[in-house]
Amino acid sequence: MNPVLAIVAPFLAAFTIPLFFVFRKKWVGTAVILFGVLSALTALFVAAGGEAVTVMGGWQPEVGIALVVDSLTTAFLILASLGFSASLSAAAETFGYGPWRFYVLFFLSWAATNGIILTGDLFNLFVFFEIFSVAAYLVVAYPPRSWQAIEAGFKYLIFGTVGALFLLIGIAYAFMATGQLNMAILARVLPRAPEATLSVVIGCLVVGLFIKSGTVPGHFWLPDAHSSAQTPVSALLSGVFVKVSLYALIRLAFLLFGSADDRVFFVLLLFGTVTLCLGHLMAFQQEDIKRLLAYSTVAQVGTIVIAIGCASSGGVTAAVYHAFNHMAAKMGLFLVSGVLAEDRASRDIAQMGGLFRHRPLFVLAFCLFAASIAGIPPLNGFMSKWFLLVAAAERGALIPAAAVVAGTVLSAAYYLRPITAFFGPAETEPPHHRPHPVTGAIVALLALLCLVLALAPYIGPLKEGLLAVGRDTVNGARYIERVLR
Amino acid sequence: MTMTRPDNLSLTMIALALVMTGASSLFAGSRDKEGSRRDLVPLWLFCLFACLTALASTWLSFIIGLELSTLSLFTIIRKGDEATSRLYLLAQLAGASVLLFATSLGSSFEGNLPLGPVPPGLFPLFVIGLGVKAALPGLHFWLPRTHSQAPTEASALLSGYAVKMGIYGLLRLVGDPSPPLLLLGIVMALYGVVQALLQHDAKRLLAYHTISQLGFIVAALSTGTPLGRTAALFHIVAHALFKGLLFLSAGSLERLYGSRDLNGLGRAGRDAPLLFGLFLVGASAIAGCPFTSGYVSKIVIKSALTDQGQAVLGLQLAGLGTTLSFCKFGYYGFWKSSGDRPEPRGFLGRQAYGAMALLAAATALVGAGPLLYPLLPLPEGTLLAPKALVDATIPVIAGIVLFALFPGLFRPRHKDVADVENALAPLGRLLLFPLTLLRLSHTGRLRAYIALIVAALIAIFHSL
Repeated sequence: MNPVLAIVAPFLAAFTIPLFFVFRKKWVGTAVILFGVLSALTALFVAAGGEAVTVMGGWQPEVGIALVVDSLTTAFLILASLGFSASLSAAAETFGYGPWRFYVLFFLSWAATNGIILTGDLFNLFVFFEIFSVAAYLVVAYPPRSWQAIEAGFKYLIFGTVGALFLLIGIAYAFMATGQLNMAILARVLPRAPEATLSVVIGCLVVGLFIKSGTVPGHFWLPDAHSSAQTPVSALLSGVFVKVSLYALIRLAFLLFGSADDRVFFVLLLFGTVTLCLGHLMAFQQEDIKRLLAYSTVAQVGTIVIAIGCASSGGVTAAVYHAFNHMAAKMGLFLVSGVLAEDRASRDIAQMGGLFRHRPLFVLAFCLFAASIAGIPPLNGFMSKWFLLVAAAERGALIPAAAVVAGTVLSAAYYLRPITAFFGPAETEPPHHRPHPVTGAIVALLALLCLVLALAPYIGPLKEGLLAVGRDTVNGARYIERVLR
Repeated sequence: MTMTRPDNLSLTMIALALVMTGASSLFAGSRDKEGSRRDLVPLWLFCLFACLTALASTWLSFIIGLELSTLSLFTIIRKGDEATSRLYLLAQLAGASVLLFATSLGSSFEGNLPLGPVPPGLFPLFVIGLGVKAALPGLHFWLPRTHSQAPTEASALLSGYAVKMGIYGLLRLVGDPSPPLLLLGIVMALYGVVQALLQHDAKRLLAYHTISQLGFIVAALSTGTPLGRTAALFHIVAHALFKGLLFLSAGSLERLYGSRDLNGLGRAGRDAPLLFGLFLVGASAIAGCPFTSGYVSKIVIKSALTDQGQAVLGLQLAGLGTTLSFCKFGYYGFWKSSGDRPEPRGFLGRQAYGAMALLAAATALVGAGPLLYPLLPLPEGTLLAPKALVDATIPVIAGIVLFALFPGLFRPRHKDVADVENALAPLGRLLLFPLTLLRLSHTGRLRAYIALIVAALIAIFHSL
C-alpha cells in the first residue's frame, strides 16, 4: 500500500467532518468512527506492507519528498494507531459527537503524526511537526471552558513555538551548509560541513526535539498540559505525542548526528539522566493525581532518551520497547484516574479514599499499570528496563543505569500513595457513578496489551522484530542505500 | 524465567518453603472463620514464588522470583500495619534494584548472568543487594519493625523463609572464602543479641534474634568450603523451623492476652501449659541445648570455622546472649506470675496448636536426624563427643546462672531502644529539603524557563 495513504486518510477525515456537520449533522458520529477505523487500518496496512520507499510525484529523492517505511517506522506507526484508536474511543464516550471541532483537530494531529513518522525529508518533518503541534495546543485547551486548560494550552503554545524555532534554525543551517533536505542525502553530506556549523545544527535540532518531547529543560509545559487536558487527551499526549518527538530524535540521532559526532550521545545520556531524576523527584511531591502521572511521564521520557543515548542497537530496541510499554501503561493510568477523579469530583490524592469498593476493576487495573510503569517484574516495564540496563551496561553508562534502578524505588513509592488511598477508608461515598463501558473496555485491552508486551521477549517473532528495529535503525548506511537506490 | 534441574540446595529450600507456608497458613486459618480462605491466597502465592526463586538458574530469574515473593508478602503485612508494609516493600525493592543493576553489569544481550559466583568487581554490589534481604548490619533497618508489626503468620514466614532467600542468594554467590563476610556475620550475631536483650516487645525481641542467627549462617557460608555451606544450609533449615515456632508462640501470647509487651505478660505458663511447652522446644533449640537442632547446627558451624578462633569465640558469646534473652522471654512472658496480670481474653484453637506442633516436631526431627544417621559430613562421633557436649552446655548453663544471679539486669524496660530505623525519618526529611527547592524552582515564569532552555542550548553547543 502506498505509504502516503496513511497520511491522507486522517487528513480526509479532518477535512470532511466539517462538511458532515454542515450538511448531514446526524452522520457526524458515524463518520468519526468510520474515519477512525479507516485511519488506523490504513496505517496498520502500511506498516504491514513491509519496507518501502516512495518519492512523491515521481521526482528524484533530491527534489521530491520521500516517504520511507522501515522497521522503526513500522513500530511507531503501530504505536500511533493503537494510541489514537484508544484515545478516540475514550473521547467519543466522554465528549459525544457534538464537538465536531475536537475531532477535526484530533484527525489533523493523527495525520501529522503519521507524516512525521513516514517522511524522509527534513523540512517536511518540520511542516508535519507544526501541523501536529498546532492541533496539539488546541486539543489541550479543549473544551475551552476552564482557564487552567487554556493557560496550559498557551504555555504549550509558547514552548512548542520556541522548540519549533530551534528546529527550524537547525534545518535552515543544515540546508545552507549542504543545499539538501532529504535525510538520506544529508546523512552523507552533512559530516563534511564545518565542525562549528555541525554543532550548531545538531544543537538546535536536539534542543528543539527536547522541548517537543518534554525532556529537561524543555519539560515545563508537560505537567500543565497533561494534567489540565481532558482525560482522553491526556492519555493521547502521554501515550503518543511525546513518543512522536522521541521517534524523530531516534531517527535523526542515528542518521544525522551519529555519523557526525559521537558526543551527541553523551549529551543525550546526560539530559536523559537529569530528566529521569527530575521527573521522579517531582512526581514524588505531587498531590494531584494527574500531575503525578504527568511527571512520571517526564521521567519515562528521560528513560527513553537514556536508551537512545546508549548509541547501540540494543539501546534502540530498549527505547522502542519502552515506548510501547509506556504507551500501554500510561494511557491506561490516565484513563483510569480520569474516571476515578470524575467519581470523586477531585484530582486530589487525599480525596481518593474508598474507591476500591466503588470501582474494584478500575483500581486493580490502576495497580497493574502502576506496577508496570514502576518496573515490577515480570510486567512489561520491567522487561524494557532490563533491556535498557543491559544496553547501558554495554555502553558503560553506569550512572544513568543506576538512576534508572533508583527510579524504580521512587516510582514505587509515589505510585503507592494513590493506591493506598484507593484501598483506604472513605469519609464520604463517591458522589458520582457514571458508567464507563467504553473506557472500561479500552482499559481492559490496554491491560491485555501490557501482558502481551511483558511476554514479548519470549515470543519469537515479536522479539525478533524488536531486535530488528534496533539493528536497522543503527545501520544508517542501509537507510541511505534504500532511499537513494 | 529460566529454570534449572534442581540440586539438593534448591530441593531443600523448596521443602522448607512448603513446610513453613503450611504451618503459617494453619495458624492464619485458625484466626477467624469468615474470609480466611481468601487470606491464604497470598501466603501460598508467596510459597509458589519462593519455589520459583529456588529453581532459578540465572540471577535475572532469581530477582523476578524475589520481587514477586516480596509483593505477595507485602499484601499480608498490609493487614498488620500500612506504613510498615510500605517500608518493607520499598526496602526490598531497593535491594532488588541494586541486585538488578549488578546483574545487568554482568549480562549482555547474548546471555544472562548465570546464578552462581560473579566477577570479583561485582561481588560487593551483589552482597549489598542481597544484604537488604538477608539483613546484613546497617541494611537490616526494615527487619525489626516489619517482623514485629506484621501479622504473626507473616512474621513467621518472613523470619522463617523470606530472609533466607537472601541467604540462599549469598550461598550461590560465595565461591571463595570471604573474610569481610565472616566479619559481617560475627557483627550481626553479636549486634542482634545485644539489641534483643534490650527489647520488651516479644516479636521485636525475636526479630533481633533472627538477625543474630542469620549472623551464624553468614559466618558459616563465608568460608566457602563445602562443610561451611552444609553448615549454613543446615542452620537455614533449623533456624526457620524453630524461629517460626517461636514467632507463632509469641503471636499466640498476643492472641491470648492482647499484648506482646513482656511487661504485661507472665501467667501463660499456667493458663496454657501446652503453649509453654512448645515455646520451650523452640527456645532450647535456639539456645543450642544438647540434642536439639540448634545444637547440631552450631557444632557444624564451629567445625567449619575451626581455624578462625576469634570467630568461634564471638559466636559463643552470641550463644550466651541468646540463652540469657530466652530466659528473659520465658520468665517474663510465661512464668513470672503475680496476681495483677490480666486474664486471657482470647482463645487458641486446635489449628494454632497444630501449626506449632508441626514446627516443633520438625525441629525435633531435624535435631535428632543427624544424631541417628550420619547425614552431615562430620567425623563419626563428633556430635556426641564429650567436648562438643560440654562446649554446648557451657553457654546455656552460664546464661541461666547469670540470669538467676542478676534478674534485675534483664528486666524488660519500658523504653524502646534506638536502631538504624530511627534514623530513617530524619534522613528522609533531610533528603526532602532539596526536593522542596526543586519544586519551588518550578515557578511558572515563562521567561525563566526560556532562559534555562537557552542556557542548555549553549551548554550543548559547548559540549559538541
